[in-house]
Amino acid sequence: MANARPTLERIRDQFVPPPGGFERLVARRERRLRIRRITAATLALALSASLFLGLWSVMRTTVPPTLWPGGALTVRVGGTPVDVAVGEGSVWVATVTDSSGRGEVVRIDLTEGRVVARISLPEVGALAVGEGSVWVANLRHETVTRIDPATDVVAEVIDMPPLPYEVAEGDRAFLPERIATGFGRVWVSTARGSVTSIDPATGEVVEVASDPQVILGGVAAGAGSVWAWNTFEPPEAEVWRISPQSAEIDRMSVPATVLDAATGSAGLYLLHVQTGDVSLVGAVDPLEGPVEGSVPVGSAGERANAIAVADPTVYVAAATGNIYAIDQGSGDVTLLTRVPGEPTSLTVAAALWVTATDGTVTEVPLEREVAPEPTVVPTPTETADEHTPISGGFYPTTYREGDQVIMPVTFVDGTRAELVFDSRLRPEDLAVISFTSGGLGEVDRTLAIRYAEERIYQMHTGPIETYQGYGGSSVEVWEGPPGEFPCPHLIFRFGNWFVAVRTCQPELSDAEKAEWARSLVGRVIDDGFLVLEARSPLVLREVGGHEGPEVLLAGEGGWPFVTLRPGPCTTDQPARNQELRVMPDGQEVLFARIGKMWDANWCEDGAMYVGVESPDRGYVEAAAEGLRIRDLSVAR
Amino acid sequence: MYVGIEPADDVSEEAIGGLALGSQEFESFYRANERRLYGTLCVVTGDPREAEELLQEAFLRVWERWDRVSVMDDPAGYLFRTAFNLFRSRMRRLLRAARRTVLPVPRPSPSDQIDERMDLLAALRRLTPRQRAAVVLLDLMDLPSEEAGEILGVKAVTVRTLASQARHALRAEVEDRDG
Repeated sequence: MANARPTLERIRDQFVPPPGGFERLVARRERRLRIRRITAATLALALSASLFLGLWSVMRTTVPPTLWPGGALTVRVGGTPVDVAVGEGSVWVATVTDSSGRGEVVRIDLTEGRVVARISLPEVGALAVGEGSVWVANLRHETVTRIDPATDVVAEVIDMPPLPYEVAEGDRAFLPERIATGFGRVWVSTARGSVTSIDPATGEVVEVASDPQVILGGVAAGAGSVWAWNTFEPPEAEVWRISPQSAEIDRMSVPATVLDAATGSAGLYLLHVQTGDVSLVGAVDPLEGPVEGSVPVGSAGERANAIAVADPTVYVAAATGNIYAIDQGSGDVTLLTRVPGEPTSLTVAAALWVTATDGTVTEVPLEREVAPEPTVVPTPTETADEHTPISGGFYPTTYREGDQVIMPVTFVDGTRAELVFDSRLRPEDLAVISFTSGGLGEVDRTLAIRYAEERIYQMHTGPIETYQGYGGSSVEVWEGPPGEFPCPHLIFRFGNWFVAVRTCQPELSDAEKAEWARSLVGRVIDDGFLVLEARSPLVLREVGGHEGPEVLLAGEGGWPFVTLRPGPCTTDQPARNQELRVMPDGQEVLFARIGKMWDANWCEDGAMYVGVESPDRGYVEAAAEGLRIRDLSVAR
Repeated sequence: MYVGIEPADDVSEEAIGGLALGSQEFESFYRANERRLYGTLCVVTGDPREAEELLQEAFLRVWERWDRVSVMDDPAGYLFRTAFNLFRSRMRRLLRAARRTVLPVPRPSPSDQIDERMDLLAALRRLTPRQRAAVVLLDLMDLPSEEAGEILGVKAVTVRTLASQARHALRAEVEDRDG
């Protein structure tokens, strides 16, 4: 056989990759991003030495998860938080605000519990506070950014020197993933098998340990050593114990897969993920190496995301939002509380701080062992101008009235109303998306209205045309997404709001596009909402008209989904799949189950249609009873 | 993220509110190369699960550097080299592990046995990982032996020897099958 190509091709072509590969890749990437963060150095308290004398006892909590709210404070920082650390009197959150990795470091004052600074960076990743500065890993830029906490500005951008080996042809880039401070230096790891340290005074970078064969998951400093661990190497993972003075390395095998790790005074605590998503916490003694035995955490199928240590307790955040506390001495596991959203990172100082995919950071006080009944309501958040969510949704300001949370909303035509929520419906987690329609002639266009959605300028081609907007602004035409029917859109920008109008089906002429550009006017009003006006000949639909102004509220992942459509309405007779129920306050509500979705809709005071949709039946029923409209003022 | 409903006249989710975890360009790249890389890695590893793992890790590494890889002359070549580097690393780790423990030879399942009768995977499984990699790099990917040697961390002459051994074994297998 001179050449085996035909045979090899025959074999190769028999293999069809399992479906859903790209989706798995996306999930893998998300998981990788989650672990690209470092738990801050933990408090050194006395530790029960019994932990290291033998197996940890295995004790499962029997406390059932309680419905959020359970924390004292939730601050919406926006974007997708990827890391959190405490230091310099503040909580620091790294949050990604667009797909390029651009983001912000958000500073929350520990005393006031509010955002006091936002530092924009071209890229954010793992974060650490120590050695007098805030340090941020910038993976793609191959840099580490130093922020001066005295001024909240970037003081230095440190280039990471190339690796001493190639990971691919011509590729020696040190892509910093995680970062830690301690022993007078800043420690940076890359998944490409290397740890370096930075002198915080000079910015000098020194290689500490490298092995191109190892995929490192992170680095931590504490318990007398610097620690690095690899993550994706079943059945065994590896922990490096590095002397901060001599850089001498001890390598030891530990059970895979290590998702995260954090130091306590007794050593390094490892969060393992096993098949079936059973999470375990194991430990590495600074002197003796891996401790035999481990503690299972959470329920079967409950995936853990992050670990933090404040002696004598180890804390684990599960993807469900459950926060578990593990006593280092006894191994007892207690369900501490449940936070909103899916936790992405965790740190602990006087309190536990948890970031979540919904753009929030939540403080969990530590004096409480088990969350009480859900009577504590998150502090209303002033959110209107504080964040830039990836979602393109706008988070309105809310405020409390007793057990209710009030959310004033303004529709794009200027119609106003206040939504009155039972606090357990978590309205502060709902983002606003607006729609209306209008046109120059008989054909209406839908106006899709989004907040802070700059990515539209990055994802597709453009601008392919530019028109002069009202007041001298620019209105640009951008290509729509690739697909079967790509359609360019006119993109208007009013403050942080974007309005998209399609130019095809049927095609707008150049004159019509210019007319649209000149005639649509927007202004951002005091509550942060956008109000649109149309100058003749453009006409926007009014309240009550077909495809008139709508406000849609959506939660994380799209559910629940609340539709608000002002205009005259009546409660319909129930259709065959609907059930008419009368709520305690007399409101008639139509319920239906549509596939996996539960739906409730009603007409409020004959003046506004309200629809609530969710796969969570309990939420829909609670909303039917606990969501009402007041002070409706229709624009004229 | 705009989700939950899809107004007919609306800009698509991707245009306005889609959660962009990566560029569409990367996704297209993934879709264009997934099957070929997967098949190649199946050939090299002899294990579809291993191939899937390597494929995912290789794509992930390319994704994190997509801004640079996308402008290369041959992004697919970079992807394949990354995958082979991972394979080589994994091979070394397996050898290290083998020194510590004796791994049981996996018993083929009935379905595996059927598959083996139906395809040529059995022949590949008789080759060593290095033989498989060498013959794939030389004959399937048309790399010069010097470059294949760099990827596998061996000399060019070793690659040629390994590939020759692999061809010999494959030829015997094919002749047996065909009659």
